[in-house]
Amino acid sequence: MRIKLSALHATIDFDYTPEELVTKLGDVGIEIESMETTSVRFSDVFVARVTHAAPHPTHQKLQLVDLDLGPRGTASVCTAATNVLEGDIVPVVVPGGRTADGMEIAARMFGAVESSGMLCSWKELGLDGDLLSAEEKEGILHLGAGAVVGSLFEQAWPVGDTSFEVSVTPDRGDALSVLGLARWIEVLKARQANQPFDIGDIKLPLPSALPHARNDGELMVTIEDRSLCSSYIGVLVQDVVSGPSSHAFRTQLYQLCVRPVSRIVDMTNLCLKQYGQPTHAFDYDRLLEHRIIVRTSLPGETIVTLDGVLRLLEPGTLVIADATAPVAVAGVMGGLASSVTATTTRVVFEIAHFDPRAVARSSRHLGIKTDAAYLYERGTDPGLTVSAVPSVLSALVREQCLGSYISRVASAGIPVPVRPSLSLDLVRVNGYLGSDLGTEDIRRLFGYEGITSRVTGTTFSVTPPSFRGDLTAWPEYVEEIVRMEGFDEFPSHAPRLLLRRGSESPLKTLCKRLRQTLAGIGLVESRTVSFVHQEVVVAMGLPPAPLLLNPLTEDWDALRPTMVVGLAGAALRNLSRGREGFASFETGKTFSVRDRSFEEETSLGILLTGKWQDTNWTTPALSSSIFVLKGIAESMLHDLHISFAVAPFDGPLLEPGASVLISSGTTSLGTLGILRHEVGTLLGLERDAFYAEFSVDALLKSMSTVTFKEFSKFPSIRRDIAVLVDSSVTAGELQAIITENSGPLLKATVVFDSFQGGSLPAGKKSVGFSMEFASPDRTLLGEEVDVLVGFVETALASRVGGILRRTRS
Amino acid sequence: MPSTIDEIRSALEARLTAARDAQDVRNAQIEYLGKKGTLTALLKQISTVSQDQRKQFGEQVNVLKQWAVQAIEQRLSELSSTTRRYDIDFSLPGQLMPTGRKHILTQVEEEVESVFLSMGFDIEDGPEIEQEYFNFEALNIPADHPARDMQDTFYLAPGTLLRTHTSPIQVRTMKREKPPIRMIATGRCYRRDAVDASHTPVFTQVEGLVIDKGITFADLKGVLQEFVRGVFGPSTTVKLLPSFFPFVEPGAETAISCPICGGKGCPTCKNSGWIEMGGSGMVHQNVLQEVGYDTSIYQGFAFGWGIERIAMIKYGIRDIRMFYDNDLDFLSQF
Ligand SMILES: [Zn+2]
Repeated sequence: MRIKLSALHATIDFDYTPEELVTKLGDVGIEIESMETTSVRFSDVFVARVTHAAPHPTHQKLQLVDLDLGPRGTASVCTAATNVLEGDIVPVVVPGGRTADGMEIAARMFGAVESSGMLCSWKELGLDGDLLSAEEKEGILHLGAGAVVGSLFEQAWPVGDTSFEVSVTPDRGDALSVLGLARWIEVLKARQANQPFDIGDIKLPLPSALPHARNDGELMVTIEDRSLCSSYIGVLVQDVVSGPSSHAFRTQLYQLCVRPVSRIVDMTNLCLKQYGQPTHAFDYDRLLEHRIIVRTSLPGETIVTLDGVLRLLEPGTLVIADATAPVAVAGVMGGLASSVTATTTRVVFEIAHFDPRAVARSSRHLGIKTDAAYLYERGTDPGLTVSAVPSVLSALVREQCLGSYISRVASAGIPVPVRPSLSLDLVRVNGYLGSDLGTEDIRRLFGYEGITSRVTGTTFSVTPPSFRGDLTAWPEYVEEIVRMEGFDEFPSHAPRLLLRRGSESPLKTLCKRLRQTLAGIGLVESRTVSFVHQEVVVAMGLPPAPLLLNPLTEDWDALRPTMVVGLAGAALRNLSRGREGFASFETGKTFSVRDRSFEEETSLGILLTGKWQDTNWTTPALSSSIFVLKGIAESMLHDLHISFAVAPFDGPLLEPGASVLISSGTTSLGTLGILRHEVGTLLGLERDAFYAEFSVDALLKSMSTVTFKEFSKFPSIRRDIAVLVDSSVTAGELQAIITENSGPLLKATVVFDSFQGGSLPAGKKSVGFSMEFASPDRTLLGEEVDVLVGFVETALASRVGGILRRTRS
Repeated sequence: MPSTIDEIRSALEARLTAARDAQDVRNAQIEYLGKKGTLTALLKQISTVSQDQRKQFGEQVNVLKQWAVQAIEQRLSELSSTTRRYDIDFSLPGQLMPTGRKHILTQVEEEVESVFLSMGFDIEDGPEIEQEYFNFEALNIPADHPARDMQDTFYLAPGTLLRTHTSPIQVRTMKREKPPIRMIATGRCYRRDAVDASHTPVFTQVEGLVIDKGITFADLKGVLQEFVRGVFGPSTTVKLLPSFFPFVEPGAETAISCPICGGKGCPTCKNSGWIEMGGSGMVHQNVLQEVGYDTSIYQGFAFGWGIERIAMIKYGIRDIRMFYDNDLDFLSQF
């Protein structure tokens, strides 16, 4: 909500600077989001009356305008504006003066005519365009009737001011008006002076009786459900003439940050802004049988709202109806058919208190957000405003629409029921706050806010003022105690808690460990958004991912079923900025949908593309490859003490023949391989990418506990062999033969070489193994190891036709 | 080969003078004093010399040996003080090593977790796809309450949504366990905010909850104070301002003394010396009743802060989008 300092000063006396006001209101929980001070930047601008306007004798596009400047005499100016007529009240900057944008004004000749000044539009005056009507922003600004001719413009229009943007939490609906803010300023003053809250300090009229009426018109108000609408007052005004608001009213609206529309609408907006009470104007002659019924809508009922949209009402929507049909959605928006037009002469003003939830429901269901609904949802004051506003509005109508009169005041739900008091215990309060307050302290603190309290022993009976709809339970009163005493005044200490160890889930611990290991290997952790484009998911050949009902953008309409999309995006971003490689991982949730039930699991994605290792003078560059990725996976699994096996795998994301399923026992841990080129292209990656994805839940399941194993303390002996085999024989098969045939003394085997082509026969490959032998209880002899290698060689020859290429010791 | 004592002495003398480095001297040492050295051989000759000359010869050889040992030592020390064996250009970079990193949000998250673990808090977890009940109703945010406007929500199905905060983990924990409860939860949350410098639809929260007999507002202040000291440094102080969050009452916005200017005022704290970090307060009666706790016995506090916000303040990061861009130039800084 926007409001100007001058409007607050007009309502309550206070001597805080704007900055102090912002801090002090913030201290009691009313946030002023921003503050802007506008100064008078023009000079020598006067209010003038046009006494004569005629075309310029020689300049076709100009008008010659004679002005009456009151005590300052007369002047003649030329203007290109077309909206200047005799009798208009306009601002003029005279020679020697200056416009808001700094233009110096001097007398100037247009043909044979001297122009001694310049008529101004809102721009030359630096006015706030947001607070002006379309007409006011067209051509020369017109001041309404009542502006004093000859006065300085800054005296006729509140130009220099400070405007505040008030942003309150949902429980502070009571601060969403000038009156509301003034009440909080009164609270600040009361607290500072250690005096009780005094509503009498507020200069707005707050009459407590309904307005007098001539009682010559018919109007009947009925409320069907008092739980949805506690009070409703209809004020019938006759002999209304529509038109723009007067100058004085207009400038008041400017201070209230209300854009003018028409006299009647302006008056309802003033009540809303000044008192925090939404009001609505109906055309009396469009209300069938002159009846107003507050009821819930029936199945199939519709209404064309003020914005011209035909809306089907959800049954049970709170509406205002005439004898037959809804004429307004209560608290949200009026109907078009019953709205006030330029020809309306009889108006019914609605002043009511609706249930916040009912208004919120309608507003949300219909998708209409209005200032009225915003206020009603946050709770309006059922007491003061419902009694004061009808009188204030009536007085305003009589003043602004000369000749009109109050014909009838029809109401239901008056008087407003008194709020019940609530009991509060001192021991409970201190036990909640860890404080040491006495009954008198609390009475005093309540007093600042106008909360009445009676004390019996250590028990308070508290009654809130009617505008504090937020005070319904004892902890809310505790909050007021804290608010008034100041949050900083309360003690702070470490809680007396039982000594114990904090714990975290094994999954969380595992995630930390994975991130630590992978970062240590040289991968950078990414965090990407969890949204993907369903089109991409399906194009990748994956099952459809969980869809969002209300995505932020079309590209982010589903939840990621895989980490690859986000990681590829991160890779793309870095590569497009000239990086030569990207090696990254991400842990987080991936999502799936099965039989309309959504599932999530913790996943780990690893993506490599381009350069894996940078180069410098000591180090050659190393490209990422499928075996770099496999090495990372092996290292990670080794760290977790997970024994695993790999098996060929065909999946949608990875190239067939270049991907494997990694499993431990019967548990699938994840997949690893070269990213399918189609998938890479789809994700914008041009180079080869290598991708692995693991289920962290599966990794957790497969982790084994470590127990110590005896190891050989005797020197080991190495033997290398290289065998020539058919290309179809895998290193894993050869490894298995070696392990099987070398006996228990084999400690480790390393594949030191694997190649084909070159001098080798077609269809053959050479694989080199380095075997390490050791005994737990003695130093081995070379001869006995040679015997074991001999067994291996024989087995390789007979099982896979391996031809020994060389043996090295 | 020199055969007389004088010859040997002058030969060694010349050799030592010519030595350019310690290795040369050591080589000479081996040549003369080693097992097969010239002097050693001379010592062995003593027994073969005739009886009458033996004593004199023996003395001469021993004098020579003593001189040799001393001369070698002296030359070694001379050389070590005047010459270097190596002359390495250490401005050259070392061999490249892996430069992997945890994401900055992970680093901050783990730091926050370790502060609370050390205070005996459990770290709880919960689903990101959440039921409306746990995310809203159970937290005293009924349908059609304006508080729902504070958190624009992504829905997957009616009643099923992406959690807008980590607070549903509070509810799940309380429904599962009886007091005392002392927990935090960190995790990803979702709000339907358009992306700008201070909003991303995905963000990370840390949530805390303590419920027991006699837990007070003063305890909340004490725990938050420990937390900010642990994360932002020992001189950081915490200040509470009245605010509204439906699941707490009294509710407070928590501000910390600006760690950048130390409270003097700077652009980050908009010259106020304070920076708002997140919400906190005493757990609302409705929330405790909803999980079946006896509110006449148990009470406690809760708080929820943004991990991104903590990282932004701690490291002076201005744009929240950077966390999710994963630019290596950004990630490698932390
Ligand atoms: Zn600062």
